[in-house]
Amino acid sequence: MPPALCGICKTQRALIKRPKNHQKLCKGCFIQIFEDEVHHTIISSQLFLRGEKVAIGASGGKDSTVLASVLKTLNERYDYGVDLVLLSIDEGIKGYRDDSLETVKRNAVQYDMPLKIVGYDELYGWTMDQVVETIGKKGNCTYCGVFRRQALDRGAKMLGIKHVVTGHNADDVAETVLMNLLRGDLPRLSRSTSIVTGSNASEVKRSKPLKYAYEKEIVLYAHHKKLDYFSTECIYSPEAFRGSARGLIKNLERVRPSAILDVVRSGEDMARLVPGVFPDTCGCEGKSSSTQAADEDYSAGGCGSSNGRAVGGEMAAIEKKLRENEAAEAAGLETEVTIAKANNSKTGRPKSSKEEPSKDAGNALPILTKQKLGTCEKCGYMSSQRLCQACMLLDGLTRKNRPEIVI
Amino acid sequence: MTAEAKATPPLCTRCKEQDGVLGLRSETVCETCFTTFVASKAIKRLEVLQRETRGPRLPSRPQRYLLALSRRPSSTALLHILNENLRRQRERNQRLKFELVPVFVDVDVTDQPTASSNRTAVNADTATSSSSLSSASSDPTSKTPDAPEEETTSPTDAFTAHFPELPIHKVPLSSILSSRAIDWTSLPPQDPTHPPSQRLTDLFTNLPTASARADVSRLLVRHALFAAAATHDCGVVLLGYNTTSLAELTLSEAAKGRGFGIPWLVNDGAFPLPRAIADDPAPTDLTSSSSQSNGSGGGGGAGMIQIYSPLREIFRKEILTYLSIVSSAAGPLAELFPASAPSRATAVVSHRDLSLDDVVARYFADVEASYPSVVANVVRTTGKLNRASSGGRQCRLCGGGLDPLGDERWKGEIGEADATILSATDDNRDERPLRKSMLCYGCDRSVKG
Repeated sequence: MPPALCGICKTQRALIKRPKNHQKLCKGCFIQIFEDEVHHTIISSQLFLRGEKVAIGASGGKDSTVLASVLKTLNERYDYGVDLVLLSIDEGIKGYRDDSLETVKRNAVQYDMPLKIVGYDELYGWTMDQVVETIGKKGNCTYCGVFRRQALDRGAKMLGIKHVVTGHNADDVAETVLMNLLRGDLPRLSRSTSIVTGSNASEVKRSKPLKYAYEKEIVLYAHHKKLDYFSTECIYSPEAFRGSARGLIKNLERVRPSAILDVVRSGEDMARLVPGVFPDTCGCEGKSSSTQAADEDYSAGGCGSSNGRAVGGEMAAIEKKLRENEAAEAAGLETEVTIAKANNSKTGRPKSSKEEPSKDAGNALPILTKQKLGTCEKCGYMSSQRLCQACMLLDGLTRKNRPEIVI
Repeated sequence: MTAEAKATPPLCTRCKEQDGVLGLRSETVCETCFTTFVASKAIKRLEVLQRETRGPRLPSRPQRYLLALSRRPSSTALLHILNENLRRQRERNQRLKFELVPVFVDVDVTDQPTASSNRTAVNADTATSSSSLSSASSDPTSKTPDAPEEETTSPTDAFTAHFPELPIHKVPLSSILSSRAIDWTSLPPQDPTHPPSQRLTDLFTNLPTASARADVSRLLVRHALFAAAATHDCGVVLLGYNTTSLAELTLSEAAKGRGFGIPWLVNDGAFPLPRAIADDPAPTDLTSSSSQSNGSGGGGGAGMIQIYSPLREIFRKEILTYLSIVSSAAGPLAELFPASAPSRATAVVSHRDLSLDDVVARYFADVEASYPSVVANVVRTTGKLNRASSGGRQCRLCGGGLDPLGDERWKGEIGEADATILSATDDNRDERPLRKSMLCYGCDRSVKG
C-alpha cells in the first residue's frame, strides 16, 4: 500500500491523523488548518479591535503557549493590528511556578512580547504556599482559581489593558458544560460556553480564542512547531478522580471524536434554553449580546491538568450539599407539594390534552437566574454578593490564621 | 450489646413495626415500606399527568396509557406498579382512572429464514434500546413479512404469565419502515424489494458506528411507540425511564450534540406527534419517501401526545431492589431477570462496539453508587430547561424541535467548510443534491457517525 497522502495538499505524505476528525494530513497542512480555524473563530466572533492592547494569560503551559504562538502568527499574517503582551500570575508555589515562569520568560523573548508577572502576595498578601499551610492540601484549588482569575483582571488593569485572552480549549469548555449539568448550575450553564465573558459591567473583557480547538491538537501543534512549554502538573492538585467530567469527555472522544465539539454545541444550545436568558436573535450580529459576566465558570480550572482532578472533591461537596437540601425538603415536604399543586392547577386547568400546550409546559416552577451584578464592598471587583469571592476566601483565611498570628 | 444489636435488625424507620432490612436513601426500611415508597413515587407522577391533561370536566372514560414495555427491569417495574394500582382500584370498586395498554416494540425482527444470518448484528447493537430479553419472546411467530400488524404475546410468554389481565401488544420495529414521518433519505438506503425485517437489518448494518445504531434504534422505537399509541387511541405514552437512565439520557444526548432537543427528549409533557413529511407546512423538495406509503406509521394529524416517565424520581438500583421483592400471582418478578445476564455497564468490549450511550451509562453506574444526589440533580436541572420555539419544524428522526438559529450560527463559528463532516463521511451520500436538512444537528451527526 502506498503511503497515504495528505488529505489537503495531496502531495506530501500524511503524518498526522487529526484528533478532531481523523483526517490524515501532512505537518504543514495541519499547522495551517489549525491556525486557519483559530483565525476563523477570531473573525467570526469579532474578538479583536484594531489598535487594542490584548493580554495573553500565560502560564507557561501548552494551552497558553500555543495561544501566544498562534496569536502572534495570525496577528502578523492577517494584520489584526492588536498589541499583544504576556501576563503571568505567580501563585507563589515553590518548585512549580519557578520553572513555569522561566518558560514564560523565554516565551517573551521568543515571541518578542512584553511580559508582566503579578504575584498573589502583592495582590492578596498570601502566596499559595501560605494558603496551603493554613487550610491544608484539600480544596486549595478553589482559592487558587478564584485568586488567579481576579489576578489576571487586576494585572491587566495595572497594565491599562481591557482585554485578556485565555488558553481554554474545547475540552475545557465541554468539561465545563458537563460539570454544570452535573452540579445543576443553570446560570453557569447559560454562560459557560460564551466565547467572550465580561461585559460593560466589568472593566476587563475575557475571551477564549481556542474555544473550538481540541486539546490533543494543541499538543500536536506545540509539538510540531517545537514550542517551548512547561508540562509539570501543579504539585497541589488533588488525587485523580476516576469519574470526573474530564474522564467522561475523554471516553466520549474515544468513541466518537466529534463528541467534544458536540458537547460544546449542546452547551451553547442549552444555554439558550435556560429560563430567564433571552435567546440571541441573531448569532452573526451584535456578538456583544452573547457576552456574559465573567465569573467563576472555571473556578477549579486554569491550572491545566489539575482541572479535572479537583472534580473529585467538588463532586463530593456537591453531593453533600444536595443531600442536605433533600433532607430539608423532606422535612418540609408538605409545603413543597402544595406549591407545586397550586402552580399546576393554574396552568393546567384550561388545558385539554388536545390543545397546544403553552411553551413553558413542564417548567412548573420558575427559577431565577438573574443575579444582580454589583461590586465588592472591599475591593471594588465585580460581584453579585456583598463581598467578592476572593475577599470572602481571604476573610476565611485570616480568621483561620488568627490564632497563629496572635502567637 | 454489640452482639445483640447485630442479631436483631433495627426497626423500619417508616412503619416502626417490621424490621428495617433495606437501605432507602438515608433510611432503613422494611420491604413493604420500600415497595410503597417506589410505587407511590410513580403514582404521584401519574397524578401530575392527570392534573395536567384533564380538561375542565371529568373525562367521560378513563384515559388510555400506552406503556412502553422494553421487557427490561425499569419498564417491567412500571408495569407491575400500575397493574397493582389498577387492581386496587378495581378491588375498591372505584371508577378506573386509566386503562393500560402495554406495547413491546420488538427490535429483533429477523425471524425470516432469509435474514437469520444477519440477526446477531442487530441484536448486539440494539440491546441498549429494547428487548435485551428477546429470548423470552422468541417463540416462532406467524406474521408474514408484508403485514407488520401487531399481535399480542402468546400465552406461553413469561410476561403474559405474570400479567394475565394485560395483553401485551407486540410491534415489530420493521413496521416503522412505512412511516412517512421519518426522513428516510438521510438514513442508509434500503432495498424496497426486501422484506421489512431484512430492510431493517440492512439499515442497521449500514449505519457507520455502534453509536449511530444504538441512537437510531432508540429513536425508531420511539416512532413505533407513537404509531402504536395512535393505533390504540392512547393520548399518553408512559416510558420506563428512571432517575439514573434520565440522567444518562441527558448527558448522552448532550454528547451527541442534541442539546437543543434535550427538553423534548428528557422532560415530561406534550410532544408533537410526528406527522407525515408531506403534511409539513413548509414546502420541501422531498419526494422519495412518499412512495412508501402504508399509512400505519405516521400517527397522523398535527396533534400532540403526552409523554411521561413516572419512575423519574426512582434510582435504577431502587428499581432492581423493587423487582427483587415483589411478585405477581405467577411468582416473584425476579424470575423474569435471571441474574446470569451480565450488566452492560461492566462488560469489557472494545471501543468499536461501544456507543456513546454505553460510555455515559458506565459513567453513571459509578456516579450513582457514590453520588446519587448528583444523578437526581441532573434530572431536576434538565427539568428546568425551556423548550425553545422551533417555528413548528421538527427533526425527522428524533422528533425534537428544529433549531431555527443554531445551525447557521454554529456553521459560522466553526467554519462552513466543516472538515469534520466532509471527511468523516467518505461514502457516496455526498452525491445527493443539497437540500435543507430535516434533521437536527445531533441526528445529523448520529446518522453520519
